[in-house]
Order: sequence, then structure tokens, then C-alpha cells
Amino acid sequence: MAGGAADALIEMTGIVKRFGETLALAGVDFAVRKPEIVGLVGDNGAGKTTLIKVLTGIHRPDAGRIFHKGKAVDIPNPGAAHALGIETVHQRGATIPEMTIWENFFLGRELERRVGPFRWLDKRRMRAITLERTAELGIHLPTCERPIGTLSGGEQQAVVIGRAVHFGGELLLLDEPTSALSIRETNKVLRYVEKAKGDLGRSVVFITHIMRHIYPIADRFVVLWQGKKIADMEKGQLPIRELEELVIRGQLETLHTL
Amino acid sequence: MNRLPDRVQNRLILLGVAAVTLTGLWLTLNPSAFANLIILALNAAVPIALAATGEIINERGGLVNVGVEGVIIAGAFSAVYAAEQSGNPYGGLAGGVATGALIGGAFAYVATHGRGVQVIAGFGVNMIALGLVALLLLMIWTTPGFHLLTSDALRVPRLRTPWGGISWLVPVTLLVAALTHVCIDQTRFGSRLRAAGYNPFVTDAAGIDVYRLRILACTIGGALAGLAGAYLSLDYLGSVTKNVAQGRGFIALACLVFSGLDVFLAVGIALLFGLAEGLSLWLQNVPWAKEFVQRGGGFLFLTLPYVSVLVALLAFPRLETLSKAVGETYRRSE
Repeated sequence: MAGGAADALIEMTGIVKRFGETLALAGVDFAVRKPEIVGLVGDNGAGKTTLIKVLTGIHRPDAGRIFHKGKAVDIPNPGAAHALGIETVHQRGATIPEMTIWENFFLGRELERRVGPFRWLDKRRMRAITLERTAELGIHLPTCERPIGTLSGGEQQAVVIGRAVHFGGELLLLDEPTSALSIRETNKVLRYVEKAKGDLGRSVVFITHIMRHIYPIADRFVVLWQGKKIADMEKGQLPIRELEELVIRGQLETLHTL
Repeated sequence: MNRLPDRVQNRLILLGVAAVTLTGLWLTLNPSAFANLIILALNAAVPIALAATGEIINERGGLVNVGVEGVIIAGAFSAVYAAEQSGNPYGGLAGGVATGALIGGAFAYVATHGRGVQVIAGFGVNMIALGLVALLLLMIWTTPGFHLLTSDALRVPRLRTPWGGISWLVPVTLLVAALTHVCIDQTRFGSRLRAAGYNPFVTDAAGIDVYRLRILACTIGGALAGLAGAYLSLDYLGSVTKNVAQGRGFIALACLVFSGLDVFLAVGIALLFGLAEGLSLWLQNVPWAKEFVQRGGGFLFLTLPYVSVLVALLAFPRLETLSKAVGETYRRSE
């Protein structure tokens, strides 16, 4: 089961979120240790995205508490999540396609240089850092002056993951990062995620409903079913076939594994 | 996605139209009449260019204020009131700017925290300004629908040239436009403003306060529209009427349609509309059209700026660079 408060990077307890009549999260406990890759899985409408949006300050929970390294925290807006080192790649888009690659990379954290009384954007430094960070993840862009919308989906994800790593995010939340990608691009993104954990020591929560994407790289799985957590297991305890069964049916026919 | 060629294309069209028009005028007119016409055009372009620049700042951040016309009218009125109270035209300009900023900020508050529909809120601004200014004109000065400045000392002094007076707000307007362009392109504020306009969700998720940014942008945009109004009453006309803007706010909105929110394009088009207005004024006094003007043709000439807007809307290709998010209410939790 989930680790205790002591070694948890983030721990959420009893999270409840209602949208009008709909109960999206019915008291969910969720924890992430450091470093690990957690597969947050479940069918559409299970509450995965809602849980992540609570953690990133987009939704306020109706009940429940959040602990960061054992300390109770309040996350009222996305800025507060940033300050805790939580970096998110949202499903609805993590980039602004009309803006350049480096503008997307530094959005909200632009570098400036002083010229007399004025402060201008330090475009040269931002471009250099963007190229350097994406190169570390294995993507060699000829220029980052182009609109990010001209990159492939996988390359865009790489820029965003590179950004999260650069800004010292200890926890990366990736909401369906591979659902719109081709097989080759998906494999690339999975490699970046493994690098972020293995080489850089970051924790990753990877949300998906496609088990064969997450299964090879995850350490642990949390399964949501209609707003409730129905499983929280290390990969060794849970063969992929049983994981899929849990996601689809909400329970296992073969009771002996539970 | 590739918007640079479109923008370059529109800039070229604009330059071409300007070159043809100016060459034609230069060939038909003597030099001093030409210089006179240019000064008329520059003076006439100031309010349109100022309002268009302000609206670009709003729209870059994602809010479309169709109430610019109303802000100009309110700015013109309060500038006259402030000038007469302070006994000085600069106090009047400041009053116009402050009123514009206030209305812009209030509009933005309604469109962000209030979650109002922007088009309706904008029309609200127009209607309130039209009604309130007509009412206040009557209440304060007991004249129906107009008020002439009580003293010429309250009028903003003009720079004298042999071909007529030119307002010092002409260089100020060009400077404001240039500064706006640099600010949008080269500063943190500008970069975040563009982001908020393109995609408020991603901007918010990046930890930027979208509402605050939009309210600030709209306040600046309103201040510029207010300055446009103050210029109209205290400089250009020397009076305020209940419909002092005469559609200049809407012309400013038309400037944005084919500008792709590029300041240079918008101001360039505003200058062309100013030229049309200058031409319509200049035609009232030319000897060869005297008889026509006396028979009522002068009113036909006065339609020239509006006709030129319609022609321009047909002639210039519309730039599709506005994001779908511009003009839409943004709510974080949806």
C-alpha cells in the first residue's frame, strides 16, 4: 500500500470533490514517494484528471487534506502548486501552439535583463537554455524560434517535460501525455519519463487509460473506479491482465490476488 | 499557424495603398495644399490610432471591448468637465484618461470575475456612455446635447506650422504605438499578455494570474480610448457633443480586423482613415467643389471616412491570427 507520511513526497487523504450532483471523488487517498513512477489509471470519468487538478490548484477539494513532505499544505491556485515543485502537463494542452518554443518553455518564468531603467526579456539566454534542456532529453531542435505548434506531439511533450525538469519540479504530473500520439512518439515520451526518474531523480504521476503504455515503466499503480480508489499496488503484485480487468470491471473475478 | 507572411502581405498592401493615394494627391495638389491635407489627416487620425492601440492591448490579453465608442464619448465629456474645473487643458486630458481607465477596468472586472459576456458588457458601456453624457450635458451646462469650451485657454495648444496647426498629440500617439509594440514583443508583461489571449488555461496553469493581467490590460486600453476622447473634445473640436465620437471607436475596431493585432498595421490603417477624414474636411473648402458643397454635397464628402472603412474591409484580407479564446470568458475550474 501507499507509503506513510514520512517518506511521501505528496500525500493526499480523503479527497472529496463534487460537481453539482455528481460526486467526482469520493474520499480518495493518494501518495507519491521519491523517486517513483506512479501509473494513475482508470476508465474515462473515474476521477483521474479531477484528482490531478485538485493537486495542481485548479479545483478546490470539498474535503480532504494534502501533505507535502509530511507538512499540511493548501493549494489554492496553480501558482501555489508551482511553488511546491509540482509541474503539470495537462490533457487540455500544456503548450500555446501560436507562441515560440522558448516562449512556451519559459511561460510564467521569463528571464529578464536590465538595460538602464528597463527590463527586457533575455531572449538569447532563454533560447540557449531551451535548446540545451531539450537536447538532454534527446531532441535536437535546429532552432527554438518557431511556434511550438509546428513540432510533433511527442516533441512538444519533450519540451514540456524538459521545462518541468529545468525548473526543479520534484513531481511531474502527466495527464494522458500519450493518448494523442503515434506509436513511435509514444515510445519517445515513455523514454523521457524514464529519464526524468532514472537520471534526474524526479517522481512522476502518469495518468492514462492505455495500460500497455504505462505498464512497462511504472513502479506502482493506483486504480480509480467511479471516484473511488480500488487498488494501490506495486507492479510485481499486479500482472497487466489483472490491471486491465480492474480498470474495466472495477473488480477482479480471480479473487485470490486481492 | 504561419502568420508572418499574412502580416507582411497586409503591410505591403497598406504601404501600396498609402503610396498610390499620396502620390495621386501630390500630383494633383500644390505642395502647400498637400502639406495642409497631411496635417489635417494626422490630426484626424489621432483618436482612431489611440483607440486602436488601446484595443490591441485589451485583445492581446483576450478581452474584446466593443464599448470603445462609449469610452471615447465618456472620455471626451469628462475631459471637458475636468478642464473647466481645473482651469487647464492638461487637467482635462488627465480627467479623460482617468475616466477611460476606470471604465476599461470596470468592463474587465465584469468580463473576468463577473463572468459577463463581453459583447453584451461592451454594448452596455456604449449605451451607458451615450445616455449618461447626454443627460449630464443637460444637467451641468443646461444645453441639449452639446457644450462649447468656455475659454480658448482650455483648449490644448497646437504646434503652429505655415500649413495649419498640428497637435502635439500626433507625435505622442506615434510614440505610444511604438512603445506598445515594443512592450508586447520584448517584455515579460507583453509575453504573458499574449499567452493569456491565446490560451488562458495554459497561462493560468503556468502560475500567471490571468484575471489580473486582463484587468490591467483593459485599464490601459481604456485609458488610451479615454485619451482619444479627451483629444477630440479639448483639441480637435473644442467642444463636446452627446455623440462626439461619431463612430471613431467602431472605426478603431475595424482597424483591428485586418491588423492581426499588429500595432503597426492598425496604426497605419488608422492613418489612412485619418487621411479620408482629412480629405473630407479639405474638400469642403476647395474652390472647384464650392457649388457642389453649397448644394448640400458637403454631407456627401463627410461620409468619406465611413465609405473608406467599408472599402478597406472589402480590400484587406482579414488576418485569422486571433485565438478562439479571445472574447471568451475564462473560468479555471471547467
